Amino acid sequence: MMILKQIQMKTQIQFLIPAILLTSCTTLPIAEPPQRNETYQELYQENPRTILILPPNNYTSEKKATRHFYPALFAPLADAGYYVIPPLATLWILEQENLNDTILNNQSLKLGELFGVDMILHTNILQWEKSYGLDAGEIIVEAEFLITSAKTGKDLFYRRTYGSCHISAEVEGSKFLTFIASAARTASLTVDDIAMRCSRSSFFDLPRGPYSSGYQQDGDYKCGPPSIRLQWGNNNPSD
Amino acid sequence: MLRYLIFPGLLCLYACMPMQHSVSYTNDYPPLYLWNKYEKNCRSYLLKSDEKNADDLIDVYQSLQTHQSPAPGIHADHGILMLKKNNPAAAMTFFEKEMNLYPESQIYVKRIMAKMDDMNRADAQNE
Repeated sequence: MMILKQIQMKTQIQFLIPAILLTSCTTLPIAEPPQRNETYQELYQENPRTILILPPNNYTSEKKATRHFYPALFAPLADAGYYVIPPLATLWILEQENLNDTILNNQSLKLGELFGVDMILHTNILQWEKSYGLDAGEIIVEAEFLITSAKTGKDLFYRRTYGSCHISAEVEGSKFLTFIASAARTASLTVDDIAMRCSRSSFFDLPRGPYSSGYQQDGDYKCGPPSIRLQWGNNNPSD
Repeated sequence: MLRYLIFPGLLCLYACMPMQHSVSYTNDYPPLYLWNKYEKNCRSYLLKSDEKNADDLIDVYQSLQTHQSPAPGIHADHGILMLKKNNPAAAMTFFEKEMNLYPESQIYVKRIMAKMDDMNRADAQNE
């Protein structure tokens, strides 16, 4: 009798499973990514025209990462339609004014006044690596980007980007040749290349500035999450 | 009995999780400016500010300045390089061009010009 009841229960559950699944599938809520005018509401309200890009803070063991990454930040923001204070002029003024890191990272309003800008980009370099393995190489760049208002000090835009490129060139039957080929391919691609791609992609949803045809037209466009991961190809890293 | 409910329960929970539409991380608008080897040469100069790298960067600036709408800051940075090459007259010309092309640059460019005046006065006093 007990066995019969158990079999009946099993059968009921077996029918129940597809029924529950079907129900849950029909009511599947699909969350739309937020619109830019929701996520970057304050940026749209402030209507900024100009941006100062500070030299990145380097949290990696690569001592020259700041100087490597700094030039990669200008084109993406200028192409987004903003007037960007160029790197040599920025460094020259910072040197002349003798401003230290504490002021650079905490005094948005003072910097805004000094350079006559509406926004300031602060960048933290978190990873800057190029490794050669026996059969593959890998390049990793990770950085945080924070744009603050030079008028109110508020955060206007944030993104953390992890970009990696895995490179391998397997040569059949020879581990040595595979190593040589992978090393050669990895050597041909620099961390700077990956850094530039990370920089370009990081600001893909930054509301367009006054020099862009998309100025004040992109409020209802979708925006990405605060953290993004980018991966590039194996055999053709230029993709 | 419970073990029969674990699997469908987990499946239902997974199915009920809000799914995100995928967003492509590419720009919706094409680049506004021509850059040539700007990034590469600028990096070389920042890593090693010698005469050769300065001249290579100036070559890039010159090629970009012939374009109909040069990117913001190209003339201003060209001016800074001229300043470093001890050619303040040429530097002033580039600073003026930057301000004419992009009026937003006036505050920081005028600050540079004021600093240049201070430096000139200090040099004159030392002589």
